[in-house]
Amino acid sequence: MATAPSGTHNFKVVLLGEGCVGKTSLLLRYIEDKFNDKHLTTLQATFLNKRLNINGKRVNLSIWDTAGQEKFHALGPIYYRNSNGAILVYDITDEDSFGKVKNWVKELKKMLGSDIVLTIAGNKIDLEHERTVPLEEAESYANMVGAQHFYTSAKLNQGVEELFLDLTRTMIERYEQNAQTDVNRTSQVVVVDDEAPPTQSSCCSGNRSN
Amino acid sequence: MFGYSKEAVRVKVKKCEGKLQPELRKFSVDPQITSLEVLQSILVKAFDIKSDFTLSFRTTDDYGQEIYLPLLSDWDLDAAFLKAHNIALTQKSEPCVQLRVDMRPFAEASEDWEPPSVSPAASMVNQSYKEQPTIAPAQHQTEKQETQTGFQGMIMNQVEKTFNMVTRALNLYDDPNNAPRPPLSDIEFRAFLDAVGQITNTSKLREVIYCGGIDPSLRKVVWKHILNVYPDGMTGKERMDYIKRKANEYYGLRAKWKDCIQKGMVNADLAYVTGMVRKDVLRTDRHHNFYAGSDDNQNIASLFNILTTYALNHPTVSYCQGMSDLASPLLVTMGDEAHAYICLCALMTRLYPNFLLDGEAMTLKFSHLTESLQVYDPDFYNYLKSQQADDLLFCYRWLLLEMKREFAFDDA
Repeated sequence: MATAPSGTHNFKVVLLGEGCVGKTSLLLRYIEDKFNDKHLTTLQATFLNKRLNINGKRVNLSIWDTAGQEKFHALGPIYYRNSNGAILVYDITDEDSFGKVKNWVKELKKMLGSDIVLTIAGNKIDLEHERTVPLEEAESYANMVGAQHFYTSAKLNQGVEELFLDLTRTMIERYEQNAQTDVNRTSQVVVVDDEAPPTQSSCCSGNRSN
Repeated sequence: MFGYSKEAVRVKVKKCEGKLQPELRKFSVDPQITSLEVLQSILVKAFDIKSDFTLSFRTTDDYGQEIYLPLLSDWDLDAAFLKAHNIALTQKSEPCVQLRVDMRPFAEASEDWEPPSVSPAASMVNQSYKEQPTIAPAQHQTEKQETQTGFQGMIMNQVEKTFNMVTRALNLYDDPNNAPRPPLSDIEFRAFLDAVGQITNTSKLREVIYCGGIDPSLRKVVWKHILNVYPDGMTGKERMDYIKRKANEYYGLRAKWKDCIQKGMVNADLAYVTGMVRKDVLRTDRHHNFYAGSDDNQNIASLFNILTTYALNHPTVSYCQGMSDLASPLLVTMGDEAHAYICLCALMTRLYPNFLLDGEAMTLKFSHLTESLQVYDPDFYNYLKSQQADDLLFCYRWLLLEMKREFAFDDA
């Protein structure tokens, strides 16, 4: 990671959720505006960068895509530590995947408290007719845990841009609030994440872009 | 890490195409928001480019010679900006990046992990030789700009280096300058069989395969041997009976859970396994002809049957993502569901610990990899450590699937 001059926010965001809910698809739609329903399962975390300019503020997002299945759960902490934001993805046609989101919320709250901005994404709304996760339940749950909730379809490119944009805005707000309290209390709430990411993605993820 | 005092960087570009007079363009960009992709689109517009091109940036080498280094990634671009910035500081001038656009692609440089379709071992070596010329300038670059070059570039170069080193190490038997031996052929394989079809020298057979691979047409037969499908010392006739018996066992096991589904007696375990497997077989190697086409491709159903049967009959392992990657080439090669199942069972006898929830086997493999790296390339290891990447987690998939996804399907 190269630049971290003053005025640029470097945020780390992690995508978490059950296998096959569409984490990789959301990311590829957002970064490359591509969709492929036959891409391979993610077996190890990879990351892509996105540079944004929001109201004149430069933001560099490092978005980590993780492997979803239970087996890989133990690797989670490595990727969510030092994260400024987490996107918890579930599949609206798969109730279990929503249960998995709840587990992740619990774990993140326990490990990171309110240092991390949570966003929940109900993906695959192109399959609305197969929905099994009730709309109200998902939204009220998100409300209860203080997370934004978005409906997305990586396939139809719905809600994806909005999701990342809203998350980024909230992360900036959170950062500025913290900076404020920092000044007031001269305590050490350090949210600036300008250290190098802990690991580099493998050769196969070399096609990052912005 | 680096702060740029200037927001804009001047860019001077020279476009070279064959013997044509080079074209020149100048513009300015903001290095903070200019990615390689953005830069490329600017150049396409600036020169009205309609074909492939390669990009390099001007810098000087240790002897003050002007050279152009390839600009292949955002990391390279960051390095170029930084270089310009540093020069501007020392010369108290405006930062300026000088680029060159060449209207021809680097030969095969982008597809570095797609080896030519030779046998696995052969292609490994071919590849490392082939890569040398394209990699060399990049390595040159890292040495010169140690502190500045992008992290990814560094890793890629070092991985190549280590890879070449390991490849050479693996071929110590032969003269490393010679190509490895050709793949095991039908005639050679027959020579390993005695009159009743017993394999006479298993370890020699493995050595030959290790050094040269197997002719693809023989894989169907020989893979069963190297996967230890058969108990030792069987004659050809015994093997045929054995595999027939095992195949029937498989059909029995498969019928069991299929019956349950038909009678609507689906317990939680069966539902979980079939759900997981179905999700994964639909996205396993679908680019391969064998699994291509619509989702009701019969081969996908076979892959589903194999994995479901395996998971239900090996409850401690069950199903875990990655296993479909292992089963897929077995089914393609065997062309028979039952045989592929038998091979998967044999393969998993060796690999199942990779997929256990405790992760101990993977931890052990990582510690072996770490130790090897410390011995073979301590500099690289120390570099990774300084970047907090010494956990080597970026190798997880390599180890989990034994490189299955890192090579072209037929070579893996």
